[in-house]
Amino acid sequence: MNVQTTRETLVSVGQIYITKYAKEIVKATRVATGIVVVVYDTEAKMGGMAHMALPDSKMSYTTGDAPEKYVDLAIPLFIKELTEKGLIKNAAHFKIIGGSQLFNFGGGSGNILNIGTRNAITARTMLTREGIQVEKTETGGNKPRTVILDMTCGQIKVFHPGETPRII
Amino acid sequence: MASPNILEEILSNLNHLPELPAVALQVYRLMEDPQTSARDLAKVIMIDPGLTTKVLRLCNSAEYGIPRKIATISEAVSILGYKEIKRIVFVIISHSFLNRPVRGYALEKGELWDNALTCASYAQHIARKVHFMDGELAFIAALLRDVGKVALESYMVGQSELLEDNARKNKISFAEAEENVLGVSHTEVGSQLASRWNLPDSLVTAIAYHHTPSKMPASLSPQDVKLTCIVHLADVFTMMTGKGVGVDGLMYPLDPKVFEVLPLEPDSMELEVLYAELLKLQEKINEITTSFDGVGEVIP
Repeated sequence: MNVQTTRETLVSVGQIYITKYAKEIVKATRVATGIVVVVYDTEAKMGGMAHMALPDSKMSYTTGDAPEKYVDLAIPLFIKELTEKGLIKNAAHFKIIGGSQLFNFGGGSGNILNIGTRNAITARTMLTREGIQVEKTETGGNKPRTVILDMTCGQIKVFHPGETPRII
Repeated sequence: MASPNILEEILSNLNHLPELPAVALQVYRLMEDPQTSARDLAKVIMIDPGLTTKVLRLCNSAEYGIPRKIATISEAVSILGYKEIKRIVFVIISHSFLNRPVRGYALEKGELWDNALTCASYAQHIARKVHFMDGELAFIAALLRDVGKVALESYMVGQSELLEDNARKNKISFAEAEENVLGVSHTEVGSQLASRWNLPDSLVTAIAYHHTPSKMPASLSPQDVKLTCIVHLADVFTMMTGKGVGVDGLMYPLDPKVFEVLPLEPDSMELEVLYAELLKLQEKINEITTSFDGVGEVIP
């Protein structure tokens, strides 16, 4: 008898992770200004998560840096890898989560570091460019989010610190 | 300013927290004395066998990449230098009181510690970037900046929504909302703790004003103002990573004082490049964290 054991995988900043393992919980914890693109393909029974930190490699990429940290580089890589592994676009549910911001009461310097907002915008633009329709976004605000992809049922859950996970 | 009663009550309830071991202060004082020899420093550290073991373990970790094994504290001091040993001693000591669950802020065991190490590493990098003379001091100040959260956490339980509403309604930071709602903020509790531990004024000040450098008294030395601005900026970047960020989230503004004091332009591109540099420190931070794996609490 082949008994699969449940495993948990943490996807850190600058990582892309794709799985078909049915008993897996894939997680990105405390995503603040960073952005997570998460997908579950109900036909291929495949899930994936890309966890990125910065919107634009042209601003700050240097040699030796992980391209997966940058939204503009990571998303094409993510989609390519998903496609190679058999992604069925019509059955794939893509969601964008993260992109929080510091408090900014106007007149302060908070807008200078608008990386969260730009991450969210760039993620959507890049996915559209790849021909991907985004089913749901949960971005902005001033709190980090933990993102969970539950491969046992394909559900995607999100929660702020101290809250209960909710399905999005 | 906190009501003296509430602050006193919180401080008197700190008995369950470990005191800062005397050895930390002794190490600190020795560093300030130009007459201190490697032998003097080694003698103080070696009084505590647990601390000695941990110092050697960290010195031999991948973070330093020293090809041969360091066997004694004297050897460690001569290879790595006084300031580095001071930094290591504070990392070890702070692990014992920061590596714990802080449930009032919705932080599991390890999260506040991870946050502190990240901020400390960022502060040291920023210090170098802005030509601040003592990067190790910036590291220690950032490491200890949120120690007040450990003391305040039991008062935070069930209050986070109220605090968040207060911060949003009054357009103030979460720390100021703590003061409005609880009567005291984690920054004030932290600075009182540091003061009680007889830490130097520069550290007490940096802890007190790490969210609000523009509120620092004008009488403070330019070095202390610079140190606090470095810790503030490192804290902002740490919040952006989300590491060890709890119910207070990113509910703090970036204080424009930073751009008056540090040679940095309020320019998105420069700050984004700096953030990208800081993210590259992750491997080093992981190495410090790993060197604590499987080692129990030693101090006090």
